[in-house]
Amino acid sequence: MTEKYDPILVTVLTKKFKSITEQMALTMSRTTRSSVFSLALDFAAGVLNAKGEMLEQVMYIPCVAGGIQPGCEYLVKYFGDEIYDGDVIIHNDVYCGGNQLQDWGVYKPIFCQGELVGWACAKGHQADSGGPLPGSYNPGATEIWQEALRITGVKIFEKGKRRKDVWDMIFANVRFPIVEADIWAMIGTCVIGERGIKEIIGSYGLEFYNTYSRHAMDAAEKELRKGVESIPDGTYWGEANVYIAPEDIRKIKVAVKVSGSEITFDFTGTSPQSTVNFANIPLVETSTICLASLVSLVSPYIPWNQGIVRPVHMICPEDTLVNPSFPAAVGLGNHLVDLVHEALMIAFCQAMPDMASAPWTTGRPAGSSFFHPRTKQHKSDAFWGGTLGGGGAMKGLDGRYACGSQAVCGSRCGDAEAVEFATPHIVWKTEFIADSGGAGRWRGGVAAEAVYQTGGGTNMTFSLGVHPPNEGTPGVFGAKAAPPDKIEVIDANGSVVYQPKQVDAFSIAEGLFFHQRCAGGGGWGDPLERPVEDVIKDAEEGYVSVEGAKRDYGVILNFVTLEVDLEQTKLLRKQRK
Amino acid sequence: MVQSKYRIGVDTGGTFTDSVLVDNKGGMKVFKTPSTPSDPAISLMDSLKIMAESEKRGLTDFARSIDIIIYGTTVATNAVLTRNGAKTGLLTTEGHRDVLAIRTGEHGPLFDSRFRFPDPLVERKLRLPVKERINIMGEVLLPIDKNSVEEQIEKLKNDKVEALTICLLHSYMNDSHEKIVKEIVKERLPDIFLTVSSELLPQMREYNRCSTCVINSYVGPIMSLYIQSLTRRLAETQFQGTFLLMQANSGVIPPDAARIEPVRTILSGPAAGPLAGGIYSTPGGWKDYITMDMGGTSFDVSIIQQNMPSIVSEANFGGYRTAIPMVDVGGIGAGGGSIAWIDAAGMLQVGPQSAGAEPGPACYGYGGEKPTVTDANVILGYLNKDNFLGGKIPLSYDKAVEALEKHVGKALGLNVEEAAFGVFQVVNTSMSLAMREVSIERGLDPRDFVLVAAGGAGPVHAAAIAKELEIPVILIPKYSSIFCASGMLFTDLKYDFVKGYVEFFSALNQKKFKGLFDEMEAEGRQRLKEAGIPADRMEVLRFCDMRYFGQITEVEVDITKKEIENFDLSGMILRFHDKHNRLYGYDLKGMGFDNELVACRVTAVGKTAKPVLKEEVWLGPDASVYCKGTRKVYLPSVRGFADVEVFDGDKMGYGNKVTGPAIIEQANTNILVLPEYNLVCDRLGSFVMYLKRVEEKLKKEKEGILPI
Repeated sequence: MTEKYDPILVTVLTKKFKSITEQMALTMSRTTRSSVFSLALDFAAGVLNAKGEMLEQVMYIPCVAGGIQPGCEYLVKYFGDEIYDGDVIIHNDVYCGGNQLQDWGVYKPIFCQGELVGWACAKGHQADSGGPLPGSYNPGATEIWQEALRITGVKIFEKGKRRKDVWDMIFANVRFPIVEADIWAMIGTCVIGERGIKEIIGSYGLEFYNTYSRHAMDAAEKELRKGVESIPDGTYWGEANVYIAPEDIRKIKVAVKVSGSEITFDFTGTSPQSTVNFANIPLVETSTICLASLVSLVSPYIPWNQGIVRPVHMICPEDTLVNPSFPAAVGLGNHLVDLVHEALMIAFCQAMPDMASAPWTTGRPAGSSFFHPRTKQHKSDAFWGGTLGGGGAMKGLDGRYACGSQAVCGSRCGDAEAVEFATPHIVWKTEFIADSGGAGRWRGGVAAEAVYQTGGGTNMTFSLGVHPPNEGTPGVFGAKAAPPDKIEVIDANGSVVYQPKQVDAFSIAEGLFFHQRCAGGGGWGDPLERPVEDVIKDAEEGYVSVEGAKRDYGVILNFVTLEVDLEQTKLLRKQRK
Repeated sequence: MVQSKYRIGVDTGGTFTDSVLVDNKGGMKVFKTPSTPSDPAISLMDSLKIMAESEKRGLTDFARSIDIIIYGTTVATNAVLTRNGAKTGLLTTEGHRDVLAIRTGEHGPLFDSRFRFPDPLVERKLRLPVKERINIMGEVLLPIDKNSVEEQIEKLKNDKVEALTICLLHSYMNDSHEKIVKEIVKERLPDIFLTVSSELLPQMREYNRCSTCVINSYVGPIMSLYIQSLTRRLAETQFQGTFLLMQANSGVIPPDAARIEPVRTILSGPAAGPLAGGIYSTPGGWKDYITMDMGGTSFDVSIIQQNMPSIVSEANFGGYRTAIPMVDVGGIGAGGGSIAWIDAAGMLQVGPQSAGAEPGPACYGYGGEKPTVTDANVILGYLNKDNFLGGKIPLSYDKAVEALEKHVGKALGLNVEEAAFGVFQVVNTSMSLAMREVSIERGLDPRDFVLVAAGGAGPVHAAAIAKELEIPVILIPKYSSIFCASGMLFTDLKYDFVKGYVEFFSALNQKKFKGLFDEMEAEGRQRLKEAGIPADRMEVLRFCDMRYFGQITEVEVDITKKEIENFDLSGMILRFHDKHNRLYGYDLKGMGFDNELVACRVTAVGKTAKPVLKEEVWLGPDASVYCKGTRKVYLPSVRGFADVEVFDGDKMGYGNKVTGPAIIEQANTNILVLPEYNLVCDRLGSFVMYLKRVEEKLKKEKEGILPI
């Protein structure tokens, strides 16, 4: 028996939830001061119901966003009947619902006439979260306590009153005062969410809000099920190599099983969890990236509520890279998900060759701390040029240019002029790299390289690569892999002074150059089938070199005029077939 | 012998060109002619011909008595959107030729793997590097290599480039390198259309600066030709008055200035809306209002406080960025032509797809089969099928029903009226949320504003949207469908200048700071003088772009000449904290954080003479003589149809009062007066609609002003 309801009002409510979370995100991006928020948009915001089920959320960084709901569900159970109007709870622990210790969630319960009706949450990557190193990335960590401060959920406000003792204890464990300012901005963001939910209940009543948010979830579930149904039934496999240490390359393996409107992501066969280079992915992140990848395949604009979780099932054996057990260190997890994404894309390409994209670039974030002469302060910032890898190609479309990985996308590199004011560095170059997109019938997205001349004394720098060195983004259906990412420290003569390991912490003397080449996106299909005119166009634009045209596409071009030698091209392409 | 002197506003739209004629007694006439996209100059001439006819004068005779023509053109905007501009080159700092393509790394929709940004307006092979480098202090790190410039110019020459932009890093701090490149270009390519970034937009952030300058070059040659053709045609009619073009900042500029900086006309279409709002809200004494203009495909919103539209210094359109100051217009793709559809979840959605003018809504009978907002409005009785556009397009009720039933009703299990009301509700929700976002983003509460509703479809939806936002008073201008054209008659000449100067306030150089303002003011006054504005009609406004260190967005704060002269910045810094708090809900006053200057801005305004609109004749409150009878109209409050009185809005006038529910029919639009509202005509003939529950309060407040 189906319940009678007004379908129009489901649309209306869904739109209202969306609007609330967008206002929250806007507040957050404009008011926070860490460049991790304002430039990289490394945050998410959402509203949830009283049980901690998602009503809607903004997904700037899927991993961060994925931590909102499990964290909230945990807090609802943990605090039970001791949740009061005016409370604000802060939480980051990865072993009770969180995704990464730097990603702090600020949760505000919403009350109406004395009854708990929902939650507003802002969650984002803090400039520092305590622990041994500034920025709280500690590649040397072998257990969670060596990474950063664990906050298992504490009230920083109770019944509207700030708890000074807790507040001071938390910020005594954090390096930069900017974090405290940003937490205030996140509380403000939650207030915006709270106000929005109260307005809805004010105009439509609590009964409507409860019933119709359930209908909204059912509708989103229906939409995703329809999407899953469009994937042919079957099992599709994908895998990716994970760099743990020079002699230790492990594997992420996934079997995507589709049956009707149900989909299972089975990671059986994935390598055991790591004890070095904090290379583990918390389950929350693994699940989120599976859902996000599925959505990008079948329904990119779906409302992000609890309904879309229902058709999705996860099998992640414990003690593995994708579901590490306590007390494993997990700091690299947010970046390792790029490899889960890679494995998923390979699986999806078998399932829906005409719809799925080839693997995207994997990120290799890097950052440093330095003395900033303009402000006369010590500071840390990312080398944002590391976010400019290419997107995967798909049937009918070359990959997106310099867009960064899809799994932790959202980040931007900013203007060189603005970066030079915010840091002591000089940005000598941010430009596309020839032959960086994976060669294919449809070419992978072109990547960019960046050259920063470092200022501000000796820089303490880290780099967080995830792919085995010299292994680029794989192509599909006969396409070639895109060249791998690469970081080098060079001097004024161009000689390499230091070549960092994939995961590394090192220092760079002032005046040396930090050169980062990102990896392009994977190609789709046989490059010998790429039309000659497309290769000529690529050569004219400098996306493909004359050598690359011959090597990768079997197209012979004149070095000076770029005119094609059709006879020779035909011959060469025939020989290669 | 002084003949009647005319002032004319012409607004070119996608489908229609709206024009307004005001004579020297303040009498206003409005006209609509079809737009002529292949040669937009034709529709201007057509408008003038119709006006001459209606004044019963020959074209030449009429043209001679025109004082001023203010003209809004979409030529530059369309050239970009249809990628129909000039073959454009770019000379930029080595290492940075991909600034336009990298777009600071922005991504677009997160999960939509098929989404692609449009290609940059300059192909990569025409984005050429020059060896040089200047740092944040304006110091030369690498002297310019003139040979590298010569080489690149040779390439551009071989590629037959028609327009060129020079944009070097930090040129707003030191323009010497751009000047050297300019000299070489002038010598080697004397006829090319050239934009130099330190001249057009000397401010920090190379993506904004480069993109704006490239758009300027890209539309430059087309606009030059077009403006030539316009002025020639006008000269042929013996027009001797002033011809001015509308800018996006809601001001106007002479044709010569528009030829050099055509990017300023981009998105100028809706920029006159706030000014129009100002005209019609004056009789009621309102200074804070929100304008909504709902046409066939778009819904534009702007917020005006104290009669001042807010100006933004950055906007995206069609995937491109401009960073010249423009009126802050928000909105969504929703209009009468928006198509209703059912998504994969089985939920009703409306827009952003539009049926446009061709094939148009199903009820037009031009072959459109998909249900639109207009179709829903016909079914609900909000539009009169026999009186649409004054009866020019008879609407088919049956076709509307067929479309709604087939594409919405069946899927949702609703009858056709319920389905139509669903469409009405969903589009209203989208519009009211867009309006709420626009106001809340700016730290404002929509309830404190009057809603000025315009556009062909606006007055049908205004009451429902206002009710949702709890806005008590709605104003519908008499000629709401030619809203922007009438606003153009009230524009001033306006030149914007900016000089980037990034520095902490504690380290600011007084001489440099003052020098920048003096330089910009002098140039502004010079340009106004050249446009024939006497000194006593000049006004100079000064602003600083400021932020807390570490932020990436700036807040614009006004500063007085006196404060600059005395180098007394404390008042401005306080205003900065206040504005920051209003916009973002907090400030860092007294917390010891340093504030940073990013740019100095000057706006030079040349006040023009404005027409004084004629008052209507007092008709008294009784509107019963204009009641044309009743028709079945769907009322949301009873969730069903009721017999509702229909009034002839074209005949109603000053003092007339109507009690809701009612429909006010006009040739180009219908006003839906919901049962919760009453309506009264003010002295300009505009309709003031207000919630019944605020009638007593409003009566007291507006005694002697509004005939409530």
